[in-house]
Amino acid sequence: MQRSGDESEPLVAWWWPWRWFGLACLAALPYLNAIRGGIVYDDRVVLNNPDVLGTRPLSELWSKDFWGHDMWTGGWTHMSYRPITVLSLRMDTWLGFGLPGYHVTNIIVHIIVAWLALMLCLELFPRHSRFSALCAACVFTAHPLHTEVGRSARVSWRRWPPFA
Amino acid sequence: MLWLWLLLWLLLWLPWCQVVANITGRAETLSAAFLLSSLLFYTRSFRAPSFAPGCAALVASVVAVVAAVLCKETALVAPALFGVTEVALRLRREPRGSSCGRGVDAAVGTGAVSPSEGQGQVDEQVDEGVDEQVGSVTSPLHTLLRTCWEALLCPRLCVMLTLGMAGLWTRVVVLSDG
Repeated sequence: MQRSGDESEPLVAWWWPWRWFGLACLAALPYLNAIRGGIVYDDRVVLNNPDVLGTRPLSELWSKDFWGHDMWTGGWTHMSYRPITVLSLRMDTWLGFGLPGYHVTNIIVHIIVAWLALMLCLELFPRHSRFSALCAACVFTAHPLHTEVGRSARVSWRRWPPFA
Repeated sequence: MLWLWLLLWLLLWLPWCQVVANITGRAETLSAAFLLSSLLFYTRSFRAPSFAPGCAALVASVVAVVAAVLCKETALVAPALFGVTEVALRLRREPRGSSCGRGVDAAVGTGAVSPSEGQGQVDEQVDEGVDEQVGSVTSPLHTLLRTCWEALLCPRLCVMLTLGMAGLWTRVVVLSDG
């Protein structure tokens, strides 16, 4: 894969070998104070889900919704079938780090997403400069829409951890 | 083109609606990770030097999409993202509006042909393509529309669109009836 601008981009040249580390820092730093965060909104319901707490057999996880209700028996259900997410939360419970453990895993997944975004930019646009790809990945990584669902962009900005 | 693609991505990226900060946001971040992985596999299948690795990459992409949907149902938007990606890949591969040169790309990718030789072959093939369209001037809009049409006819994208329709049907009919 041929990439242009390796030598012609002094802004990129010196820190390009550190791109993965730098992007991980950019992804993690805005959310570090979330590690001390408590339980808000849907967290309360989801963390009381027996499948997350591990008080129900693992085999039943695949027939329950995100809130722990049965999907197909005709009773009330949240209609959100997310077994892999529930499984990952159950793993966090099993690891036993408590609330900070859940938040740290979220940040780690966010870092992985940022890395994948950079890889995809480089894969899709090899003729563009590395600087463009890295800028795109940085915008994606630090975008406040990742923080929380918002009724408006202003709310979203206020909830971004650096401004919280 | 990079920015156009990013804009479309922003418009279509529904899993963005939540969160890193909240615990329940795990659904979005995990879904995003699988979705990006599937897009990476999809681009790998596009650039695969032969049929078998291309199929393997496509299967990996399908598996990743299914995992993304099992993390959060909004990942059903994936076929639209694949469509945008397919068009972007085709436009990247065909800078002069030609539909040829794919085999050469594959040969260069595997090292069978040096990049300079490969570019020469591409130029020859493009010239042939241009010769076939003597007298016609291809506008950027025409190229874009033609590329979109070709992308829609692409078996790889058809597989993904079919998968997306099946997922939507499962979501709307099967789960709702439950």
